[in-house]
Amino acid sequence: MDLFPLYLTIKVSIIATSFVAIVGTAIAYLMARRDFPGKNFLDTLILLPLVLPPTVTGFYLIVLFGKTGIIGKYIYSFTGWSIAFTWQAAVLASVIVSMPFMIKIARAAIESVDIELEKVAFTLGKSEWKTLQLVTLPLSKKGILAGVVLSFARATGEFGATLMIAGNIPDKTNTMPIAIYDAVSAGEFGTANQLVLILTFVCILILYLTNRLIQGRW
Amino acid sequence: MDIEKTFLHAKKSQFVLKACFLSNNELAVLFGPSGAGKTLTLHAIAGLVKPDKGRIAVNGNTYFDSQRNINLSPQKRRVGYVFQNYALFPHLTVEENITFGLKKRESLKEMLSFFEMEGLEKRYPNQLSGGQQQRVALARALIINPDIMLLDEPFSALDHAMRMRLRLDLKKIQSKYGIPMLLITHDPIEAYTMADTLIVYSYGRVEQIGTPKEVFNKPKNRGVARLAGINNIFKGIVLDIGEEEVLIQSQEKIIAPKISGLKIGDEITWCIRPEQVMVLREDKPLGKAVSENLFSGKIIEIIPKGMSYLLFFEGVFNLEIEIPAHAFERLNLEKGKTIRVSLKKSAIHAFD
Repeated sequence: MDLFPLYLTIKVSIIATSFVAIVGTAIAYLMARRDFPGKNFLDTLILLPLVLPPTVTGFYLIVLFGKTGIIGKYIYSFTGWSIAFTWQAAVLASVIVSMPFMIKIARAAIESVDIELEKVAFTLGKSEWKTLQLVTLPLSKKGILAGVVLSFARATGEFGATLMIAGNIPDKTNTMPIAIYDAVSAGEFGTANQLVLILTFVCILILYLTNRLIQGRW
Repeated sequence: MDIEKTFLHAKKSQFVLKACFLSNNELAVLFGPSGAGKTLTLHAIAGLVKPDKGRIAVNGNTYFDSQRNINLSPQKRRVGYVFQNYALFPHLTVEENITFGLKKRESLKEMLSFFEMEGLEKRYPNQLSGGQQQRVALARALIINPDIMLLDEPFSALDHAMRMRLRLDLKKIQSKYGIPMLLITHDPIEAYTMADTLIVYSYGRVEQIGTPKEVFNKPKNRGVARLAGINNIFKGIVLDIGEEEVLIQSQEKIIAPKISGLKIGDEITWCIRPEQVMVLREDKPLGKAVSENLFSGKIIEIIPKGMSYLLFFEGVFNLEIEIPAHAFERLNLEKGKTIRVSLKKSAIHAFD
């Protein structure tokens, strides 16, 4: 059996989730603790992929990053490369659709940290960066981890947007969900069964391990 | 310490704050009702809120000066801030909390013994009593050797015994470390007993600065009088001015000590503390001191206050009278009884 889809899905999910975890936490912190112009607009923009059908999100990604897209055409004319129909496009799609989960959950976790704890850290001579490391993040760790897990789950299951911008190229961009769809379309239920079982097992394993991790003190 | 600042509040309401007080190893108390701007003042001193203009200097270090464009970050100010809810780090142990502001753990032992907390180093804040939590917060603020300690309502969450202990702890910090302290309270008794200097706040204004005695006996205006627990406040008109006293026409004529700048016919307000109203013994001749301003009336309500009683007196003037328990018993006072009271001239305080 071809295990490429499993390998690709895990690779895409890990890369996308790592990016989402770091950038998402940073954005969540800014949203929770800072006021800046356009904050509400940014909030709406970030949440949009949660509400839109993934195919619509994928369509926007083509419009933006496709070979002739608003941003994509510049990338293409400078580098001769386009993200469309590459495995990196699958990462991009996963990042965009899982980012809202990360930011929403991490922001709620950060906002639940008593702001006076941060203030007291300031008066004790700690910079904002140090305070983030020593106070805010340790106290919002659980929520942030929960955000990471959900983002990972969302990235693993990503189908619609990925299909739009990364396509379904065997041994290149066919992630598990796409390979499963493909197998069912072709009437290969045996392959579909195997893929579904593997994906389910991997997901259960990940959820179980992270739950164990989160249940520790703080 | 010399503070003067003007704020535009978050809700865009003008909040003007002007305080100017000198302090040397002393304990100053910000006293006022909630919403008066007391916590905001502490935040401004600590650098957590930026005033629009003014100047904040502590121990000769300028923290903020709008004219010279100085605004030190909270990290650069040396302020030991003890928050009202203590704001201990719940994920850190007692010793990690106390040494949070240090680079090296040098004076941990000293702090633990100073606050009698040996053996609690490895506990987490949620394993401590309220009083212990507060002492951790005090130690954490004190250990950085601050220019000033700021304490937000330190007494509010404590029971009676813990309050007494905190008073002693604060006096101990004062005498051992000589660090000026600025604490907030809305409790007149704490304000009176703790303060070297009392700063009375109301609606973002400093109403009066003075020793507790001055503020409680000679309030500058009606607002301060009420905050200081005086409800015996009356209006009148100046009838006559003598060498040392003035005659005031209120519901009845009252003799009061002279204050400068008065003219006959001026409207005036006067007050008397409830403890200063003398209930007279009917079986004894009157001494000279209490022979002024005598009035009769009835006790309409009695409220026991522990070591004293609060009487509500109805007569020409409706008065609140606070009388020590032993006097209350000796005089056989009871509800409905008619008594004579004297408003001793020297106890009457008049203001515009």
